[in-house]
This record gives sequence, structure tokens and C-alpha cells, in this order.
Amino acid sequence: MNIPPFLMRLKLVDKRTRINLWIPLFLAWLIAGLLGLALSPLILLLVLLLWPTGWGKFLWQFGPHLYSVLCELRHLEVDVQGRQNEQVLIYFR
Amino acid sequence: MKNRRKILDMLAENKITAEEADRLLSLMGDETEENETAELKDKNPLKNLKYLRVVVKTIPNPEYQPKNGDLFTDDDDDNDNVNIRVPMTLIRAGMKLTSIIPPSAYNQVDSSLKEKGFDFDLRNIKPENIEELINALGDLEVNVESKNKRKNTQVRVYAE
Repeated sequence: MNIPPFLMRLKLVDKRTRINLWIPLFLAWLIAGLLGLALSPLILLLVLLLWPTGWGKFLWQFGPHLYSVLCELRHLEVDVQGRQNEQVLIYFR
Repeated sequence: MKNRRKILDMLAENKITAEEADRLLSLMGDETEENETAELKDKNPLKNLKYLRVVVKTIPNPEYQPKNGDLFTDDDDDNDNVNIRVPMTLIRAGMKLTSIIPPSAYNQVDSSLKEKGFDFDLRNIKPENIEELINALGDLEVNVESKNKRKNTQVRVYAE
């Protein structure tokens, strides 16, 4: 079963900024899950109301597609080292 | 080939009938097709491709010998290095999001594209086209090498 990444490493270094964070994504997923659960009756109503226009189907399918995109973020890595010791490092675990 | 020869020899020696030989040869033909298909699948590198890599490396030119009068600038110590790894499955999942765009949104997007001079209909993109495009990324390879006096820059885009 695919699961989204739990942590995100973010490192941004340039002349004026130095950011080095481990972001606990699992908290974001928890909050998003709880919000989704709380808003699910409203979302369901919106889906039913908007179904004839085509946007209802979009809303219904958007969640699972977004989840699959988030799950694949786990293997994404970005490492850029620029001039004058500028650095951007992003990866997920 | 050896099996085929054996079957023909057995037929010649009357150890098997013509019908039995025909049946054995047809069975062998099916097995050969299956083996060829399996070999093709093994040779097909697409199933093993997992990432799209973009790598940029700047390295000092080993042939460069500083001479008297050469001015060194701050840029000489700066090297651009980029290493990006994008999973193919992420590209696939992202492109599949376009398949759920509602028809009314297509019209708006198409009209905006036409205004910019792109006569392109998003509705013509089908899931099999997206799959074909992603599979074609497996054959993509970009190698650019740029040399100047002091540094060599290599840019590579490839699938692995």
C-alpha cells in the first residue's frame, strides 16, 4: 500500500537566508484527514450538486488522484548548488 | 532448433507418426513464441526505469594552467551543481490529473491557448497518449558539454 511521505527535508541557503528544516508532513496529513472527515458531508453534497456540470466528477476523483501524487513525492529529490554557496535541497522520506 | 531436429529425426526413424510430429512442432512453436516474448520483455528497459534525472556538474578544467596576468574573479570558485531526481510514477500521476479536468474547463483552456497561438485541443490527449509519452521519456537522453578556459559544465538529462 502506498503511503505519503512522513518528513520533508528543506534546506535553503543564500546570502541572506539560511533555512534548514525537517518538516513533519505526517502532522499535515493528520490535519488534512481530520478536516476531510469533518467536511465530507459538505463535499458529498457539492459533488451531487455539481455532477451535471462535470465539476462534481472532478471533485470526486480529485482526492484519490491527489493522494497518488502525494504518495509518489517520497522518491523526489532536488539538490541544487548554485553560485556563491547558494543551495536548495528538498527531499522526502 | 535442436528440438526441431530431434522431432524430424524421430519422424524419419518412424518412432512417431506424422500427426504426432506436427503436434510436437506446433507446441514447440508456441513455446518459442513465449520465450521470445519473455526475452523481449527482459530486454525492454522501460519496465526498469524508475527516475528521470537532471544532472548539471561544473568542474574545473584540468587542462587550465593559470598564466601571469590572468585575473581571478569570485565566479571562479563558484560551481553550479544540480541533481534532480523525479520518479516516473510521479510524472505519470501528475499527468493523469489532466484526465479528470471537466469539459467546461477544457473550453476555457483551449480558448486561452488559441489566443496565444497554440491550436491545440486538450481533449485529444488520451490516457494511452500520456502513457506513450511517459514511456518515450525512457529513451530521452540529453548530453550537453560546455567548456571554457577555467570550467567544464556538463548537463545530462536521462531516465534510469
